[in-house]
Amino acid sequence: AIQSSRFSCVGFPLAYIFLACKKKSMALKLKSSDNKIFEVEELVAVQSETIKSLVEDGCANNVIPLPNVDSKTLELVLDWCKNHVDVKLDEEKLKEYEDKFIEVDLAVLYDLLMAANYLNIKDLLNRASQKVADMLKGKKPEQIRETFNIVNDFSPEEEEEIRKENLWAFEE
Amino acid sequence: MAKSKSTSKRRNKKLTLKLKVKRKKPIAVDRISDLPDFLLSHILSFLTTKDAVVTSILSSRWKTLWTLVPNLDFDDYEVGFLRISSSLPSYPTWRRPSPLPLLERYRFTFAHIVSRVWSLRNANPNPPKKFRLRWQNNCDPIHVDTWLRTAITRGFEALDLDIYLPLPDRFILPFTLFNHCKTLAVLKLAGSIVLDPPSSSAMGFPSLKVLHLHLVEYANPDSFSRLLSCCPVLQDLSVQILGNEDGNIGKYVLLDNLSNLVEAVLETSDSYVSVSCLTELFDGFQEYGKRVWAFLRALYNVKSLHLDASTTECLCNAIDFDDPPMFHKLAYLNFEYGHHCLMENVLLLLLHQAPKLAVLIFDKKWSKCCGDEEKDCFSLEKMFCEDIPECLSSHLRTFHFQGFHRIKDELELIRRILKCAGVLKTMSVSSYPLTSAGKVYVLNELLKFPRLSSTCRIAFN
Repeated sequence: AIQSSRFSCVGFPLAYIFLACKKKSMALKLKSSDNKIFEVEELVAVQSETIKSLVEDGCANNVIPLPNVDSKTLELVLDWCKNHVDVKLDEEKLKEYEDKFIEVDLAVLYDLLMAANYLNIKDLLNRASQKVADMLKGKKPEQIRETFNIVNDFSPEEEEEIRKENLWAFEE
Repeated sequence: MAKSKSTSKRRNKKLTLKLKVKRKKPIAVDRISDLPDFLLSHILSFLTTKDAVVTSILSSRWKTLWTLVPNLDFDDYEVGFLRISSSLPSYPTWRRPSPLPLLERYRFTFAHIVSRVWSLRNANPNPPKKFRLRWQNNCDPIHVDTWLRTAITRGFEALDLDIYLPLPDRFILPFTLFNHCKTLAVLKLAGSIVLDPPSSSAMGFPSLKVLHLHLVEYANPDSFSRLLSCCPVLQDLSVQILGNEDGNIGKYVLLDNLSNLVEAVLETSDSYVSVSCLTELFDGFQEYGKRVWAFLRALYNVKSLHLDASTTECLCNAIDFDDPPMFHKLAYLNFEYGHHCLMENVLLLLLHQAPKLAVLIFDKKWSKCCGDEEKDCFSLEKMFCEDIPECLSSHLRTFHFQGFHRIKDELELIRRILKCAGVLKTMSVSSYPLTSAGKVYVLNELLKFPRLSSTCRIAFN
């Protein structure tokens, strides 16, 4: 389980005042599809709109099951969230973090896309989508098929037909 | 070899960890095609329409996906069907298209293509939310108008229009844009566009956050102000203004509601050269300078401000402006240094007016034009000695000097900033190419300067 250290250090009075102001307990328990429990601060978790609405509806007292996200992906997603909690991290550093974060295998990227969509975390969804889009940008169809293992199921005639339809997009 | 979709999927499910480890290469699985439509169309929305259309040929799964994308993005340069013919007006080199014979071969024009895409896209019941059009060659305003009117529907969010028409043609933005775009969040206009916002009270962009106006024209002296005054939640403003006519930055500045603005980029090109009489020229400069100051006042709440060289020159021309604005939130200032001997004074004045400034980019586009160096140094000294700007002693973390020429004055400015800046973390200087001896000299000088901030690092080039 991930234990987060933000706001939990002693000798940081501001954080305590902040804690005291919050009505609910700050820790939420999330359960991944492979039944691992993640304990995270509410501030981190509510960056997911999905979790946020659960919290707001008072459904977050027990463990929140996330049947669509496995533990490996959830760990990544929570790391993203931690780095995006309303911190005044300067933009350069945040961008650096994001660029490094998104340098992952395609398989992980798909998991992140699906998780970001399910958990409704907009900035993560956009960053992951952007990453895939960058891999499509300016590429020839053959290259794209190879990168993503897409099987061309058109007959040569069909393919020619589509090519003709939008000739302008395929010509160099 | 790729397996067919269904078998590979089934297999993948059954794969045990052991099998995966054994296999040297992972099985080629097409997972991207299994993503739901809305995710794929979201991904495609980060591409230009051309790149999105290319995916239609990947497989039957992808054939019509691009039509679901909520934005249309056309760039005549990218589409590449540009006919080079002698009848075209001459373009500045950066606009000139590369010769592409395809148009001749297929008898397509850019207009054909966009219209065609537009009709193919009609299968999608949801109108596009974002429309970007860059059309610099043989642009036809009739088509632009048609597409724009089609695009302006309920829920329309972003318009990015960059068109070029040979003089004297102009594209007048349709009125409907001003009256019916309550959801518009981004408006970027550049080129041969005339802005003529109606005066009706129903007009307005209650959701507009980003407004970029680059070298567009304004129908009336108050068009610019009027437009800004109906953008109550504007956050990011970028303006490039042609300074040679009345009514650009506006004789009447009615901008008291730009309180949400956090980022502003100002470029006011100074085309006053056409005025013949010298005194008139001077008055014109001063008058315009005052207007620029008055405009800056409306930007009092910005966090980030970029002033180009012509703008800072305008500010120099009216440095005795009565009531310079305070920028209490300004944290980032990009100051382009222009041709004027009062540049340092304007910079210092701005530093005084921005107590929270943390990042200062000093971008020197020109070397000094007037040879009155002693006088300048004197003013510099006076201003620094008498009253050190608050931001220097307590907030400035980064100072970046671009376009360093190895002039005494420049070193002096750097020396003074190092001496006064209490919390400076980074001082970086990038220079024009110097000889290696010159580099050593500058570096030595830089390192010799006393630094008030003990944690300040100096980077050169």
